[in-house]
Amino acid sequence: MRIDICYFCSAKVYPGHGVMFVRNDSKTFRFCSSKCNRLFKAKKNPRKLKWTKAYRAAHGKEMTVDSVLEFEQRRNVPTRYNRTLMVKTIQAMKKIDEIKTKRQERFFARRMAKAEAKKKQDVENELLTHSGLISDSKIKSYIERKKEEKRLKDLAKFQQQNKKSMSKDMDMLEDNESDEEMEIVEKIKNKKGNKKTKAIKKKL
Amino acid sequence: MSAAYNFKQIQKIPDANELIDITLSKTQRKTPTEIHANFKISRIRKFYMRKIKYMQEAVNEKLTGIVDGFPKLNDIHPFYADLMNILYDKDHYKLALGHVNKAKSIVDNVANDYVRLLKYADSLYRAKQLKRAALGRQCTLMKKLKSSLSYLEEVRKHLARLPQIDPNQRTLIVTGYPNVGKSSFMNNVTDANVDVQPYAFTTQSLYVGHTDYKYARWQVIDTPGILDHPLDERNTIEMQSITALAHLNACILYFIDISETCGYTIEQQISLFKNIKPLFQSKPLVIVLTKIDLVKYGELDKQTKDMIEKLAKEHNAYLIQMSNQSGDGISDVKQKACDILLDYRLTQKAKDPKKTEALMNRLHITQPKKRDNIDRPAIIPDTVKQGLKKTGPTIKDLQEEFGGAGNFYIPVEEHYQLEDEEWKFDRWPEFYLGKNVMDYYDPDIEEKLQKLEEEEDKLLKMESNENDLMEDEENSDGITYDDLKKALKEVRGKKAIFKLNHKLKKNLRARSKNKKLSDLEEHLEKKGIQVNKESLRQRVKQRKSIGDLEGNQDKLFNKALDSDGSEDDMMDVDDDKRVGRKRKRSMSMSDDYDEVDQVSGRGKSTKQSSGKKMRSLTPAQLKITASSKVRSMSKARREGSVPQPHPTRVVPEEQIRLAKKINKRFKHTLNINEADRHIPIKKPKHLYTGKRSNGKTDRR
Repeated sequence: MRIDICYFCSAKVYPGHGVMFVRNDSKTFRFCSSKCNRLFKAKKNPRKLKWTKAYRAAHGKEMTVDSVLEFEQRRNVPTRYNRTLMVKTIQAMKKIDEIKTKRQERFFARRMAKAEAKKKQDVENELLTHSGLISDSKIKSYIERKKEEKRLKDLAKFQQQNKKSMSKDMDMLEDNESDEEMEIVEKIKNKKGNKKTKAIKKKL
Repeated sequence: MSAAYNFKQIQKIPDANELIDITLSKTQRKTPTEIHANFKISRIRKFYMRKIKYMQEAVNEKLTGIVDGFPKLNDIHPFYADLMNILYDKDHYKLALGHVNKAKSIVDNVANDYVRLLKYADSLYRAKQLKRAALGRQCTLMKKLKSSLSYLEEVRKHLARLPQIDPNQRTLIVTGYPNVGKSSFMNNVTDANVDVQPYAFTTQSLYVGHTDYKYARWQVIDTPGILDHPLDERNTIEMQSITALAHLNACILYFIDISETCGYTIEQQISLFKNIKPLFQSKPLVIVLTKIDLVKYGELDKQTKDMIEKLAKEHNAYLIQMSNQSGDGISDVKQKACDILLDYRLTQKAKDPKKTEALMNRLHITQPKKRDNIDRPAIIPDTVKQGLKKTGPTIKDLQEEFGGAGNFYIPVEEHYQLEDEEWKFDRWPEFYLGKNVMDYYDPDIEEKLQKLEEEEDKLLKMESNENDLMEDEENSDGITYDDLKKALKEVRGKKAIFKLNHKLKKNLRARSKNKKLSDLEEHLEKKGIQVNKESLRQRVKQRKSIGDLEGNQDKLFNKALDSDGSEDDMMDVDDDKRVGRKRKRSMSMSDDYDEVDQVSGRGKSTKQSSGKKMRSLTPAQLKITASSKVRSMSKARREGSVPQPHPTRVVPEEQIRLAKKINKRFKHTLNINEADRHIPIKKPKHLYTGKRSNGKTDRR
């Protein structure tokens, strides 16, 4: 006897419960309920129904990659019964279960934190564009600060990009070795320098 | 069995009339039928020649088919040739076939003659007559074949019913006086079902049965009885058995009825044997003494016994006793006869040097040679040699003792092979914490668990460190998500107000693009157009200046900003009214201009259209719309002038009431109702052409 797993929703199916379908290629499908059975017959994809474990696993809502999950396996190699090993196994099962629940909790917390942070970021982003309309001075100053940070960050990014493209241009120009172009390059360099200085001034 | 002697395959032979019908209709069907007198004569000739030729070919084909279908007496096995001679008379048979063959050539000649004649035909009529004559003569020729064809048909029918005897196969031939038990023997030995009756000449033709012996098939031929008289006096029935005896290379079973109940004495039977003896010279021979259930061989006279034995000795034959009634010795007869024949055939073959050589070529005898002198005996384990010895009661005994099958649990565990004997009867949980224990049952579980625990500790440490870092990094100044949300709500509210105000100012923005009056005047003067400045100013006076309007808006806007959203609604309503009023006026004005433009600018056609319009209106309505009409009928505006408001006439109240009433009536009657239903096209083409695809009824 085994506790099987519902083919559709991955619920536990205890012996004497549910339905088993044996396809003509002798593959067996165990279903926990008539609901799952029916949906299977209707050729529904369990990965597309939100309430199934398959969906949750496929959409990163469950812990799927973890070392704890490797303990539970169908073993196709028969091992002889050994009393000491059996005792150890049962003791281990308890410990594994504890660790697993803890890890799942942490996984959930991390997932939620991420979502929360994103929400906050969204609100912040919207506020950034309308910082002038905020009446609360405390929040206003906070948002202003964020705005400044963001501006600097973007600038740095822009410069880095520029640098890359510049270096490319430079290489090409060096090949040509024409004076006019060199002058232009120098001009551009100066401009960049100006920008940098400006940014630094602002920061100060 | 060779296919050469399967006479069932001969096609049915039509009688003369049928033959004529077949050939004529075939000619009609397969040749062109349309011909006209005005065709070229060469074409007409060709047309009829073709018909004659085709008829000739058809007849030829049919007749050759008949001739070829029948076996040629010279080509077939002499047994069959003789048999056919006896049954159908060789001469008659050959004559009939010859007749048919001859008719073939005559038909050819006739056709050739008429084809030659047709070359001289000078008209359609002549040609047709010639064709008629040709076909007619061919038909008469076929009619003359009538008797031959019917005879051949009879022969065919009879041939088809002949037993399929293969002259080259292993064969036993049963022969003897009538009523000695030949057919009964056949029925006993073979799968044939021959009619057996207690009178002479029950069997009137040859019968074939088959029997199995030594994994081969054997033909057994039952012959009609033979009487003892000279060959010339024998009838057809007897002659059949004679031919079989004469031509088939077989083992002959000569039946002698020793009880003499067949009506012939043993001496008579022996004399018959001597009479037909030449037929089975040098063939294996068995003399079968039948009906021993009636008279035992031992009970016979010594004289007759001697006679029979002497006969057997002289002809090198075997003597076997048999009874069809009791079944004694039947299988002996069969076995003996078959063995002799087999032996005979083999010696026959061995005599032929070619055949023996072919046989020897196919034979190859191998004998295994000894590889070495090592002894390789079969290995049998000791346990098997000794046999497993178990003491005490068997499990079955135990089962019987403790309640029998169903109550007794057979201790399978006894046979478990575990490290410790004590563990054999352990009970362990299959499920634990809702999991299958066997899924976790792993020899290395301890190490793995340890690893996992270490990993867990490491992870926890790392995560706590990260959390500390995160807290350090956080510089939100104690501003929570809720605070931000509240701020966002406020900002959004303000944004909404901004948006609304912007919308409200839309019309003003549009107006602000308008030119100033002075600019217009300047522009017109530049073009040299005289402007009635007064009238222009008068119009503008009626409006508020743009600056005024904008100032008003700003005031309202500021008010809204200061106050809460609840006042917004009020302001909306207020503004709507203002906008509505303004629009009304401007629209009516533009309408007026339109009408004026129409009348002035376009002349006759527009006048007509306006006339139509008038017709549909009642006098009362006309009066009501008098004011606008008066204006529309007025003269075209001069260039540069500005339209002035006309003095409107006062319409009496009575008339307004009436007009309203009429209007009311028309309001209903002028509605489109059911009677106006109109089907533009009854059967639109797009609905009736092409295929309907899945589930489409209104389009293709």
